[in-house]
Amino acid sequence: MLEITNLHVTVDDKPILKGIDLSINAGEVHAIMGPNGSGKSTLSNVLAGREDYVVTEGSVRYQGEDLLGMTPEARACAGIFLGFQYPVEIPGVSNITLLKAALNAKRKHHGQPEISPGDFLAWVRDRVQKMSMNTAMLQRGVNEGFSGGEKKRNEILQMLVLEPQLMILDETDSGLDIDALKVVSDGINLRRGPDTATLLVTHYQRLLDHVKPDVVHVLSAGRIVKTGGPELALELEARGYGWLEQAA
Amino acid sequence: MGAANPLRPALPVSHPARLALVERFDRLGWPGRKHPAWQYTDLASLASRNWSPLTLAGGEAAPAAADEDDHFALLNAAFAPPATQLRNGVAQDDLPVDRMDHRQYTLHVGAGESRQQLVDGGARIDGLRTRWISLALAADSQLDLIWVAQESGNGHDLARLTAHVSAGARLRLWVLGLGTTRSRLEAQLHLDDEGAHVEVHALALPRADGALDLPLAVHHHAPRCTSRLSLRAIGVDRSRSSFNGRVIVHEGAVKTDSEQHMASLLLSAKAEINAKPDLEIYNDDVKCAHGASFGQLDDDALFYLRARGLDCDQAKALLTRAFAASVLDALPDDDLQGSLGERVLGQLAEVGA
Repeated sequence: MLEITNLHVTVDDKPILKGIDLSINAGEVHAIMGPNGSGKSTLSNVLAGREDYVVTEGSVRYQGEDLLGMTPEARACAGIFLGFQYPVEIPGVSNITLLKAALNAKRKHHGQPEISPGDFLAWVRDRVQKMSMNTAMLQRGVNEGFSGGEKKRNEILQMLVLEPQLMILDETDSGLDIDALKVVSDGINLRRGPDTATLLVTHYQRLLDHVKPDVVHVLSAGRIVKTGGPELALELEARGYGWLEQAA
Repeated sequence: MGAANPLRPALPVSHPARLALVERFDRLGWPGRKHPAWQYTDLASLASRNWSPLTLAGGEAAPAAADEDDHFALLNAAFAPPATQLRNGVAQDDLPVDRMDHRQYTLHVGAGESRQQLVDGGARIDGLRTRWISLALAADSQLDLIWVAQESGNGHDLARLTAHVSAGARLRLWVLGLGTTRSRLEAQLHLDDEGAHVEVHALALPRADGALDLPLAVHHHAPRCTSRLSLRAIGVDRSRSSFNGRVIVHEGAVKTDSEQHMASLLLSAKAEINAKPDLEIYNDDVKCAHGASFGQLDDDALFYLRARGLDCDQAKALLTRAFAASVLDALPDDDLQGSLGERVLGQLAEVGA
């Protein structure tokens, strides 16, 4: 589904990613772990199409197509979803407005008519319940006045409403208490299936207790320095990143 | 610009008081941009026109004499018929080139009374209009005044709002500037007695070559009065918006609580927005805050919406609406929020924002 080859990225002329190779197949969950500043968020943002990042070398193919030539909105409509590390607050644009506009943008992209208001409401309400949220939040501004945990829940709610194929979740577990972590993890698992893939970017093992990864990568100083199974995450939890950074 | 034509011959009646006003105006001349009070509304080009009034002022006594150097007051008072009661409704009288119209209105809100007043404009103005509105709010009264300027045409539309707010009374003013004329609303708001409150919410969104000039002065004369100015401008086309907010805390106005916020969103490289908060404090023990922010659409918010599948134009339109919404959402009732919201959205859609 996603094929990253020798990806080099600079931000303000500073090299951040220095040759990433990563391949994710449909049905798989990959976790990317690594210390602060290793390039995890850069990778997430580049995949979603953020413009401040400059790809200097390498390629990314998504479902066989050149991803890097696509606008952020084209990527979203093609089924890529970035769960933001720091979701922005947008006062004046309600959550329901955003959800409807986003869903209809995707439908338009696929040649489908706009969803009927009744179907849309039923669909969204069901998802709101699955995320243990209150439907009153739908009328509020996007993330306006939300706590850190509520913002992350809202990201997963948007994901469940839009039903993407490739989910890139950038530190979705940070800022969550135990109960919220459970709700968010359950939400992520709902989208797990043979036709979808997930890339979890995280610092901590605890999310991986709930969302079991198939593959774990360690990112350090802009390169993937180690790849392994779920046991690698446990080893990192016990030993930290120091031994890998030295080895690299 | 040709030679200046005096206004004196345009006065239809021989009335000494009116003549004195117009002669004084002719001696001063039309104010241009070098005049500090008219920096953003330049009337110099009006001097060479051959003005004639739309309606002839009767022989009645001229309205109260004005300050000697007050261009607006001299011009308005010289030609305006006696003041009438301000009414709800839409001003529809078109004003062709070289025609001018001057009016005065009053509104008194009795003690404890509460009312809402809508002044809506949809006329075509290619000439010159002046309106002078005097408001008096008795103790513990409330007035919500919604001022909508959506005139078309290329003329000048000048207005002055003078308000006196008594003890415990509340004046709330909304200003929506959506037209194509060179418009100016000057507000002189006086908090005369203890506990009086005034708030102004303005959205400046003039179109084409239109302008909205909003010089606001809030005078705190008494203790424990509060004032809030919340002004937003969206710069589209070749429009110009200017906010000049002055809060004057006079001697004795202790425990004054005042805030003014101005925010601007520039969507066209040819548009111009000026925002200047100003404070004059002649007194201790006051709380006054002011701030101005100026910018384009937030890149993070834009990317967030695009990452959810909205194309760039759609994302910009949503964010622009959101910027305007803070003024619209504060409107006093749902009907107004709905109807005026539609008009603002329609305007934004027309300019492609």
